[in-house]
Amino acid sequence: MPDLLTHIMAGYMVSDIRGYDKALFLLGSVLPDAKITYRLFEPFMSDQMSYSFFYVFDTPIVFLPLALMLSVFFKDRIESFKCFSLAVLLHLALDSLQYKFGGGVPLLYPLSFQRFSLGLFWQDQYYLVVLAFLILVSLVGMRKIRDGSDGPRRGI
Amino acid sequence: MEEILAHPGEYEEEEVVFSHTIREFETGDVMEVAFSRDDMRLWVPLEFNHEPELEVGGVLTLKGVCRIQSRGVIVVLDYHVADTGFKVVLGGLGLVIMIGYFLRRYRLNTGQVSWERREDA
Repeated sequence: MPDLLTHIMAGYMVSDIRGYDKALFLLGSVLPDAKITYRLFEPFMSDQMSYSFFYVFDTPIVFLPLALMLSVFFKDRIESFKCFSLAVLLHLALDSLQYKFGGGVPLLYPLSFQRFSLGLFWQDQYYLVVLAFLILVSLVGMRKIRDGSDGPRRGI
Repeated sequence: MEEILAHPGEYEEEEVVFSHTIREFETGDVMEVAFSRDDMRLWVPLEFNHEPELEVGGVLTLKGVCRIQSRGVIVVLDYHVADTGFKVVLGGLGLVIMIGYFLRRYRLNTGQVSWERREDA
């Protein structure tokens, strides 16, 4: 997986461009990496169990009900469900671009156990973070300039 | 990997991609690399086209062709040993930013046990 910071920046960009609720989208974009909490239980889990845990947390089929459960705790449930689901799909799509830990993302599980990985980069190529950061800064900067130039015109 | 080693015929000539933490390795024409499996060491025979730079504790991600049945090895086409330490630091930073951003936008309504936008409250 790309690191969490890259996922968050990608989530911010997509939610900014598409006009989704950014806070919800960011929360959804880190959800699949919640699997890292397995480390708390690692002493009590066999390797096979850890692998299964990792496997299911890479599948969209597990995340759609999870997004639904999480959205129950928000006032606007439909909006939150939409944001969580799209953010999770974005996360898995980004993960499938790299040589993934475990061999890829099982996007079609349970129809197929095949894992998908485009293998465009290795998991510790941090220039991606820098690239995402630069794009994000440019995007936010452009928006601020545009909003700043829109302000006075509205008044005219 | 266990499947491949146990049933090599089924995977012969197939391309495999996997990542595991290196626990031990032995150099030679065929590198024997050990990964953990249920408190056991799973030794995998790998053939690199040049001397690889492996290190115990690093995450080895590789793409290779399975030739266990014919040559007794997985022929490595491409590989990478990752140091995931910095990734954990970036992950922690990302988590702090995300939680901070979320709490600036949302507050917990303890009465209804639900999160609501601060601007709506």
